[in-house]
Amino acid sequence: MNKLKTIVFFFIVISSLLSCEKDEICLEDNTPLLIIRFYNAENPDDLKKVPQLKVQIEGIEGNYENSTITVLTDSIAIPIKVTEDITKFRLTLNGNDEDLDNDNEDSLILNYIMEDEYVSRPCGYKTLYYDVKTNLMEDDDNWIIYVEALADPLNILNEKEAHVKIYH
Amino acid sequence: MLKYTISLLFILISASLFSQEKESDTTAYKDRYGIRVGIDLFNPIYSFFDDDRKGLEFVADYRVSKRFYIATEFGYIQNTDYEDYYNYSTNGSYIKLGVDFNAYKNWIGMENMIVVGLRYSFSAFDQTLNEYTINADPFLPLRTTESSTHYDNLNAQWIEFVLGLKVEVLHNIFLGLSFRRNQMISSKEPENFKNLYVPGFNKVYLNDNGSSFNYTVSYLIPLYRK
Repeated sequence: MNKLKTIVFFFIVISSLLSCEKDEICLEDNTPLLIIRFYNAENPDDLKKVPQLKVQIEGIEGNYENSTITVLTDSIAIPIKVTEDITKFRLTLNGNDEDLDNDNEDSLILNYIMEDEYVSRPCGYKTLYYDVKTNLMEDDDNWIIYVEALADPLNILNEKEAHVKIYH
Repeated sequence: MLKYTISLLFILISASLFSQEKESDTTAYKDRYGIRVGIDLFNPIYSFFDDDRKGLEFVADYRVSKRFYIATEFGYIQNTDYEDYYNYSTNGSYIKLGVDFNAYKNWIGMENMIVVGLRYSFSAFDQTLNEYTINADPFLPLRTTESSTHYDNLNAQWIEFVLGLKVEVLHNIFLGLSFRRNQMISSKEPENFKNLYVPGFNKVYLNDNGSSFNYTVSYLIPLYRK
């Protein structure tokens, strides 16, 4: 009987150890955000911070906010639509302060091809963006001088590094 | 699940008390050998309350020596599972083959078992991804794809480590319960999806293991005494 108790004991111990799995919470990367870094147009090697940046996405109410969009930011991570193959971002310089006169809104359009990829049991499916084309809308007074994709063709598959550089 | 296991354990223990009044022993008692056949009770009862699962399992064992039995389980299952962002259905059948060792030393005339066993198992099945919603930033509208994707001709093989009880509650009638720890050996996976549920194996977790159990009622067909 003692031998049996040992077997049962080990069975329970081994089973409970094997059951400690991070299987219920999604910890892997899901649908990647677009990562933009802001550079100085006059000195293209240097980052240049954007004051009071406001981010809006066409067709969606409200301002997009997350921890990367701060009072003074040199890089942001923003979501791309998964319901359409085009997303139009409205990036407003000084858009988050009280003064409306100094606001300057520029529009950046992304076109892409979507593919859904299975991740894991808790995460389900994510969307990846292939062959992404960036297009800056010209207006009378652009604060963005030019936009540069960091790869050609640009595929947005993860958030490990920046995808787009904006010079201003 | 544990709740059921414990309550059944009590039934089995109390049932075994009743079954202890047996024939008076002779000087040279011979054990009965035979084939025991039965069915799993859990899935038929579960299907009654939940439309998302339908299944039936048959069990059988054949005694080969004082403490060893050749054992098998086979059955089919249809199961739909709901995860946070998607749901999928699995449909297929399975067979398990192996040995049971009786770790319990019976009093003369009793044939109860504490089962320690091992199985090789195989399942052939198909999966349908019924619908999924993209896991993305909730600031933007999420896309749900409802056109179902069907994955045919999948299979899996695995090893089960079995721990269980079998108690004779009436003459030749046994109630059993077993808990199984499963480890996948290999499986044919669908493209851009995963075999998250395998018939007979139950849910497949990250490191390809899982657990399953059954509650059985079985009948011993005695063949000879030894």
